[in-house]
Amino acid sequence: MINITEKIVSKIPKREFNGGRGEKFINWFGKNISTPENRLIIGISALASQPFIDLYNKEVDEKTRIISCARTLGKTISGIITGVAVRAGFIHLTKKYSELESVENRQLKNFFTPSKAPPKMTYAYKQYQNAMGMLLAVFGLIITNFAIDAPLTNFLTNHFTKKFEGGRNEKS
Amino acid sequence: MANIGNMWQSLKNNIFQNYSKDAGKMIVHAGALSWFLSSLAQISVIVFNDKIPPEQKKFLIPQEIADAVVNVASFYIVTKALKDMGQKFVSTGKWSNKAIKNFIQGKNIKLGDYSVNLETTFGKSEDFHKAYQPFKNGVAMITTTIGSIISSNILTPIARNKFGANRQKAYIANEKGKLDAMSPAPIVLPAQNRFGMDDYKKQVSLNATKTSTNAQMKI
Repeated sequence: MINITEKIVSKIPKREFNGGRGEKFINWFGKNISTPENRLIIGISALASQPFIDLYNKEVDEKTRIISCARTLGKTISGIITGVAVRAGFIHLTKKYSELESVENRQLKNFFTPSKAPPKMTYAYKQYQNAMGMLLAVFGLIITNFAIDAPLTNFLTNHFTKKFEGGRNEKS
Repeated sequence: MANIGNMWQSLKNNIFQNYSKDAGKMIVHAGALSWFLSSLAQISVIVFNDKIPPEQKKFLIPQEIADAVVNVASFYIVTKALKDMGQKFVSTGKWSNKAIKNFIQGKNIKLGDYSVNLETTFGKSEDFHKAYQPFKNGVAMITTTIGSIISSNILTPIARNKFGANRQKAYIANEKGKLDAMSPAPIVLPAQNRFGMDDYKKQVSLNATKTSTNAQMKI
């Protein structure tokens, strides 16, 4: 693995970014894209690719293909809704309760503040807030996966299956 | 109570030390964990959905298990490999920006050489982190996102469909085999085309033996 990485790194041309569009995009991406946005990007690209992969899977019969595609659509849509909302919610919660300034008699505001935190807001501290929020979101997702994601996927799968099968019957 | 307080503080400090300077690492770890949990819920959806016919369930359940295994494994392997590669581009200085170049000016470092590791060389310098972190983090997030898309949206669906289809074919072949074995043997007429009571009794006893053998096999 190290050799592969070494070969690729040595083949890639050296590049120095001089504050142009490329560097602005890299900095913007690093600053603004965290786990909720990452989940949204994966979800949207999943909607654009996965249903077609299922629909053109020639190894199974047509009915299975339709249900498989409907399920992928249902799963992706419910995954985007709960995944993005839970991640964003917990990151917001963490930011709210991880203030750096010492707030007298309001310890709740520092509930997520680590003792090794820097005195002023830094780039690294913002990353910590995202990481802590995401970690809490994983626990939140255990609940929402069963309480919201699973039944919503079920509902959407049945809805899309009916719609696709209706369309197929109309054609034939 | 004091111990819980200490544990909480040490957990926060650990997260701060491990993830504050590497956002991509957090995406890889938390992503793999959340895919696993999501798959667990999705498998239960199929199991408890009465509207999906059993024949389709036989395809969808293994498909979902394959999805979980492939998704978590490919997400972790592909996304981490791309993230590490992006990190290597920046830490060796293969990709750099003006701020990094200004920082290393006059320090006798050959940017782009595979043996160079800016992080270990200047890791303790605050000025270095100011110049280096935003750029490194941006590259890490881009490569991590590309890795997530490739693994979750291309590799996983293709692999899980292949696996699910093979399982469904194997199941159907197995069920067909069972049905063939369960069906009574065809009645064979004697050569002279006379089928008497003795012949009938022989045939019934032959079929009864076959059925009882199959019943035992089913158990």
